[in-house]
Amino acid sequence: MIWIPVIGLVLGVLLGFSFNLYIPLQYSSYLSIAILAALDTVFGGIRASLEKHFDSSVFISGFFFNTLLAALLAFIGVQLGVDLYLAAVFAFGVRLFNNLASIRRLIVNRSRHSEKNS
Amino acid sequence: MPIKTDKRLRLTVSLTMISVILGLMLSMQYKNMRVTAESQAKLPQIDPKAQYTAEQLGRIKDENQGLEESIEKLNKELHSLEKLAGNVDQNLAPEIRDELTKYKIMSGLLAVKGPGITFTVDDNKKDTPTDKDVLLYITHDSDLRMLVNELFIAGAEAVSINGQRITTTTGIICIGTVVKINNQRVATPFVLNAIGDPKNMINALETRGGVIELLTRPENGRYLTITPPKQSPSITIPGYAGDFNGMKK
Repeated sequence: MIWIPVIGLVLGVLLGFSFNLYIPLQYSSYLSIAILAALDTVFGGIRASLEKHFDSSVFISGFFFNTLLAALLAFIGVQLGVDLYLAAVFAFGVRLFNNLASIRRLIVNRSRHSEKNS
Repeated sequence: MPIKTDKRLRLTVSLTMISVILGLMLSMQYKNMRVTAESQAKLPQIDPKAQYTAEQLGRIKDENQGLEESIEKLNKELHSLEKLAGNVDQNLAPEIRDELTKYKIMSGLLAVKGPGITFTVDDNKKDTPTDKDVLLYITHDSDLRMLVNELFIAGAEAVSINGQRITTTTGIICIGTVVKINNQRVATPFVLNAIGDPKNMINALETRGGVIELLTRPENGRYLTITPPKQSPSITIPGYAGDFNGMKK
């Protein structure tokens, strides 16, 4: 079951490369923040699924909301001359690592349990 | 367990959907980065040429400066040599010394100073010929020869054009856009200095039907710009420092 999202990721990448879709260069920084937020949300979703309290509506709304909010924050920061995107990078970066650490712990714990069970 | 499979299905579907979007975003960002990297890689490609040119320019400027310094040095040397040429051997008898000085002035070796006239000859820059030959509007070597001859006939002892002394063997010839005098390129405007009787020379130049009229009057077919000769109580004309035909100095 886990490979289907991976296939989806590959499909998305292929779609992006095969179609001549371009984000204007000046919005590249917003896109990078949005990508960070999206990555964070995806890892959060994986963690939630491992912790067995995954809620798809929370996950999907969180993905879009976080992504757009991050881009918006960066945009406002640029307009005001405050480097708000640094705050977004920092917040999402910390959360990303927290999520990854939780996922690692959960997997390690799970493998230990399965060892004990067997 | 229908509830669990439903939950897993929903998880998979939502994760897949989000993954597709994430993949799209990632690829777009990657493409953007590549475009930026390419544009940055292109800049240094242009740079070496510009840098090379700038280096060339700097080198030539340095070279020019060095050459100008050497010109200054050589000019100083020239002046001291001219002075030396003027200091005729003190042991010589006064008559011989005077004679030698006279010949040196005649040959143009000695810098001379005295009353004379000065005027400028230039191409006609005001009117641009529309129907007439452009050659009638620019200064030629023959015009300068005419003027110099006229000055000598009117009693000039020494004549120079833009600092080039006219000696006994000086030729004035045209080499394209400039004139060669004493093996030096001389360009417009030509400043003519002449030492001698100022009145005689001015009269000779400005006489009715004289050289200046010939060269400047439209009815004579020429359109040069010549300033009226100005009398000056003290004009300095440099000596000639090069070789004479057939002999080294």
